[in-house]
Order: sequence, then structure tokens, then C-alpha cells
Amino acid sequence: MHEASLAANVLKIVSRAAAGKESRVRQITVSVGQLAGVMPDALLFAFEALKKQTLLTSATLKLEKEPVTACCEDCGHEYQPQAFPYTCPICQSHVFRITNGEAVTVKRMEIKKGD
Amino acid sequence: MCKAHHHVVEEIDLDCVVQEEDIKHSEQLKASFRAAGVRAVGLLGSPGSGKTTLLETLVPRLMKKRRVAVIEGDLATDNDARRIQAAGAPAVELNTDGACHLDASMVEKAFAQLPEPKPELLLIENVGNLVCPVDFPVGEELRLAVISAAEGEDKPLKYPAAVLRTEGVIISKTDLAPYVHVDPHKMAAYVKTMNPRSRVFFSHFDATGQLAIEAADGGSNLEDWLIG
Ligand SMILES: Nc1nc2c(ncn2[C@@H]2O[C@H](COP(=O)(O)OP(=O)(O)OP(=O)(O)O)[C@@H](O)[C@H]2O)c(=O)[nH]1
Ligand SMILES: [Mg+2]
Ligand SMILES: [Zn+2]
Ligand SMILES: [Zn+2]
Ligand SMILES: [Zn+2]
Repeated sequence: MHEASLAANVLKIVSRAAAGKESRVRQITVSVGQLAGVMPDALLFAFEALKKQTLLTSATLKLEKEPVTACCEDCGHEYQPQAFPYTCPICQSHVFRITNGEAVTVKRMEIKKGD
Repeated sequence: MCKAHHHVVEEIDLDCVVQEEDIKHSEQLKASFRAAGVRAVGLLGSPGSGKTTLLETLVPRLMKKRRVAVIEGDLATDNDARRIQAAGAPAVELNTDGACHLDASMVEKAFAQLPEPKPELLLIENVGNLVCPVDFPVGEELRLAVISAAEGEDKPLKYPAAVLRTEGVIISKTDLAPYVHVDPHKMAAYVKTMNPRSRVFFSHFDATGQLAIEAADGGSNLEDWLIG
């Protein structure tokens, strides 16, 4: 529901990183955490609409799902939980801290090389 | 073809968190709250899940132990802030004009509008929305999701972020459970299975129309837990 502001932030991050080469940016890869409150379709839609107001008009957005990872609070093992209850594969503990899967991250961008 | 593609395109790793500014701002706000002796607690949940009703009941009780103030987030109207003021505590209404969640800069401004002396316990009711407020912390020490029995038994499972990214869940309106074919104890069990460290509470209107709140997990009562 706030995907427009997320898309605007993606464009801002990429514009800053492209520093003068904005028009050569092609694919932008963004990962969406499975626990992030984000609708992928709305993010894509907002990106397409907002990029027209930037120099990133040749850029496309590719979304990846970022799985949840948990860190076992009893033995420190980091694992990708499957179903509830989250269970540490090493010590079977159910006590954990979420370490990944909450954020939206701009992973990488492709820039077309100049001649 | 793949080779040619690599020749003309350079891949650049960025690894930038899109919500980074919001998260940083929340951390700064939390630090300034702490420095000022303010403990902030957030309430989030679907529209009408019972957040303000809970605050109306809690505020007079909490005020016996701490200086309390409330920040109310709504798309429109100052109804909720007025309800809190009627319950006895200072309250500031934040109208988001369409935005689906509060952010740290809004809360910072609203906090500045609260009368002196500033509260020791600041309760922040987010915009009615079970999805995005979890992504936008606003300086809270604790976050509490309010999920009503009337929303359906499986809501904790369907909105895992609301359970996994908060410290407590209130299953509200349990008086309605028989009418909507819901077992509140099952909802509490889902929460505990998903997030064993989460506190769980029940609330309901009793026969006299008063809101009754009880721990569903054998732990301390809600007021003591909020005070910390
Ligand atoms: N039966 C019953 N009704 C309740 C209970 N708690 C709240 N309500 C009713 O639910 C309706 C919505 O309550 P609010 O407290 O305004 O809900 P809210 O979550 O603050 O709503 P928004 O701020 O609009 O998102 C009101 O009519 C309340 O009287 C409860 O425990 N049992
Ligand atoms: Mg309310
Ligand atoms: Zn373990
Ligand atoms: Zn290739
Ligand atoms: Zn939002």
C-alpha cells in the first residue's frame, strides 16, 4: 500500500549509484522479504509509473523473494525455517530471532557499457 | 548469447535496504525517547480491531503509575484523540491523508506537539492496517498487534509478520467468538506456535459493557508488561 514510496526509494538509490549513467541502467534486481508488508505487483506498477519522471527510463525491475532466515537463540545456528513452529535443525529449539526476510533490498543493477 | 550479454552489461552489486532511512530514523527517535525517559509502545492492527477501545481502558489505569500520553494515527478525523482525551490523557491526532502507516518523522512531530511535561509512557496507535505498519517502526520499545476474534481464527497465520515482528498480540472481542465460530484459544495457540516469545492477551466486553483484559499465557498483566 506504500509501494509508491518504496518504488521512489528504489529509483533514488539506483540514480545515486548510477551517478551520471542513469540512462544506461537496464535491469534492477530488488529482493522482497517474505515478512515485508509489500505487494510485488503494486511495487512493479509504481516503479513503471515513477521511472518516467527520472532518467532511469530504460530500467526494468526484477523482483526476487527473500526467504526468512532465523538464528537459533539456543545454539546460534542460522537456518531457513519451513513451517511453524520454526525449529532449529541442529538442536530442535523453537526459540529464534529473525535475521532475514523483513526488508526490501536493491540487490544489484546492470549498466550498459558505453562504446 | 549469454556471453555477449555480459560483454555489454556491467553488473553492479548494491545491497541497499530500501527502508533504511525509515529504520534509521526510528532508531534515532528511540534513542531520543530513551534519553528523555520516554518509553514508547506501539499498537497496530486492522481497522476496527479495538485498538482505541483498549487504550481508553488502559489509559486511566496506566496513569495511576506513569505519566501517559497517546499519539493517534488515522487517515482522517480526530475522533480517536478525542476519545483518549476524554479518558484523561493528552493525545495528539496524526492524520495521514491516505498514507497507510505512520513513520518516524510523523511521530517525532506529533511528540513535539504533546504538552509539557512529556510522558513517561507514550502509546502510539498506528493507522488501522495489519500489513504495513510492521515495516515502519516509530521508535517503539514494544509493539503490540491487536487482532480481533471477529476477523477469523486463522488471522495470525495469514499475517505472519504481525505476529513475528511484534512482541505481543491481543486477541480482542472474544465476547464475539461464539457468533463468528472462532475459538480464541486456538488463535492464542497459533501465536505461541509461531512466535514462542510473544506475549498473548485476550480482551472482551463483559456483561456490564466494560472491557476486560487478561493474559492468555499465564504471564504478567497487560499494564505491568506495558510499563516494563
Ligand atoms: N463486542 C466487542 N466490541 C468491541 C470490543 N472492543 C472494541 N469493540 C468495538 O469495535 C469497534 C471498533 O473499536 P475501536 O476501538 O474504535 O477500533 P480501532 O482499532 O481503534 O479502529 P481504527 O482506529 O479505526 O482502526 C467499536 O464499535 C468498539 O466498541 C470488544 O472487546 N468486544
Ligand atoms: Mg482507533
Ligand atoms: Zn539450535
Ligand atoms: Zn548473461
Ligand atoms: Zn504503508
